[in-house]
Amino acid sequence: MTTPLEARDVVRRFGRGRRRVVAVAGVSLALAPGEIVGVVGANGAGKTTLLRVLAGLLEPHQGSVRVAGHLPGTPAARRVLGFAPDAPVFPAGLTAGEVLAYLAALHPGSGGGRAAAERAIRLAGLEQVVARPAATLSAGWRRRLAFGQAVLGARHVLLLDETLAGLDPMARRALCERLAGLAAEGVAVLLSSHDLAAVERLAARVLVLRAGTVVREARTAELLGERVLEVTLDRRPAVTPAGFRPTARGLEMDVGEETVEAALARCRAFGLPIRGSRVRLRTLEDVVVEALDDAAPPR
Amino acid sequence: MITAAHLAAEVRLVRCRARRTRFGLWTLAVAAATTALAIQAGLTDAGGTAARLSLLAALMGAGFCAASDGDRAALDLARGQPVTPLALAIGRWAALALLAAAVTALHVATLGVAGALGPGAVAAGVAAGAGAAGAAAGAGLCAAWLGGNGLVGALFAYVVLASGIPPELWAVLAPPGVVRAAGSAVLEILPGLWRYRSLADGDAGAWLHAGAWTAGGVAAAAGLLAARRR
Repeated sequence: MTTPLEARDVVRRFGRGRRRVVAVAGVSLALAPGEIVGVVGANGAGKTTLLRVLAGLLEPHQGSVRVAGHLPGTPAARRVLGFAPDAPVFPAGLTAGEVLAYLAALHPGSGGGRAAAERAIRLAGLEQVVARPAATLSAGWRRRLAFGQAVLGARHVLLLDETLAGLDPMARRALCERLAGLAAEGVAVLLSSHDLAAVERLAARVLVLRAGTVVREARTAELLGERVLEVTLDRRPAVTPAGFRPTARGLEMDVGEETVEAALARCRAFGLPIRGSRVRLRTLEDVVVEALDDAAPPR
Repeated sequence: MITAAHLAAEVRLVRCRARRTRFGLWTLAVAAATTALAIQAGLTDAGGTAARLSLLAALMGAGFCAASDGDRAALDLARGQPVTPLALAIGRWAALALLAAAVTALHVATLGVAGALGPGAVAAGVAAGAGAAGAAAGAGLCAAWLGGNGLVGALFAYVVLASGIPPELWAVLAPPGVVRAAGSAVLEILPGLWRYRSLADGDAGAWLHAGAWTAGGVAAAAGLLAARRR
């Protein structure tokens, strides 16, 4: 079976000379059918550029991308892959429904696109804004409309750039459920998001991007299975002991293969004034912050 | 290449703009003014008036339906669908040209009903309008996707103010040198009233010029769209 999306050593630069910026610096990835992969990282990490290259809207300067075996940007690839941009711009003067009908009509064999547009409206939950001008929609609705155009036709791959941002909790949950439903039908999803809770809930695999490079890639279950010991202290030590991270009320450390008792013994060995302690599982936020800290150049 | 559904969608988009923005009002105003002036002047030759109205309507269409920053940014979503840049350019061109040609056909038919033109002149006027509309839509779309409303505005101003001057007259009016040469080149190259008023007479040179702008404009617009990946 053909891999829905495959990228090898993709490099994309902007500008020239001293103003040259390498937005994506040698990223490789592959999506399996039905897999949801999260792309996370700080602002300017290269997430949007990576997605635009994968969508065929930007040409890579090096490396290769294949969408179900097709070159990105070709009609064959775009029949398979849908892209929902972070800041979509819709043709002025059209309602949300008209925007979807217009874009659906660009799909050959869509028979005018009415059925495809109606399915997209249903999937994106756009029923209540269908008759409203697209240009006047709020940011959340615009992202849902962008998601709607991405699912037009029979797409097997979805690239979603901050699609969950700006949604109210109910809409966010509904969209997450629809995404999970699409994945269950075999649609591969690459989800770029700052909403780490949603990525943690949806993605089977996570890529952490920093300065255009993947600095950590792992299955979500592996990342989140690790235990963290949080200790509340009477007073913070002047110097954070090795292996510990400061928190609002004290310190925390990865328990790893140790027992909790052994970890607490290490705390006592440093003479920390412990008031209380608890063990929790790591969140994706812990993983991302740690990966970005590890990859940061020394100050 | 381009499907009937795609073409219909582009026509719907242009029709929505005509209904919901000042585009429709401006086009109607220009058409009404051109018709009133033609009737008042007792025109018996539809060539000039049909070409003028077609050029203006197609360029206004390009300005209102393709040239704004928003319209150009919105092309990203269209490019994300399974369609080639050439098909997108053909679709938008066809919608602009159809609208301009339809307005001109109505204008020429009105002149016919008013008794200013005979049936032969009406037919020739409609044909001239279609030819000029195709060329202006090609040039206008290319200008819209290259330079936005500024470039379309400049093209519109050229058509209104200068495109009726034949190069021979310009050679007499302009001082010798760069200005004369540049002006002559512009008049020869760009779609203009002085050349397209002879479309109604079946002038082969004029039809060839209009055909070149139609094909070249669409191809250049498609090239501009494709180049956005770089």
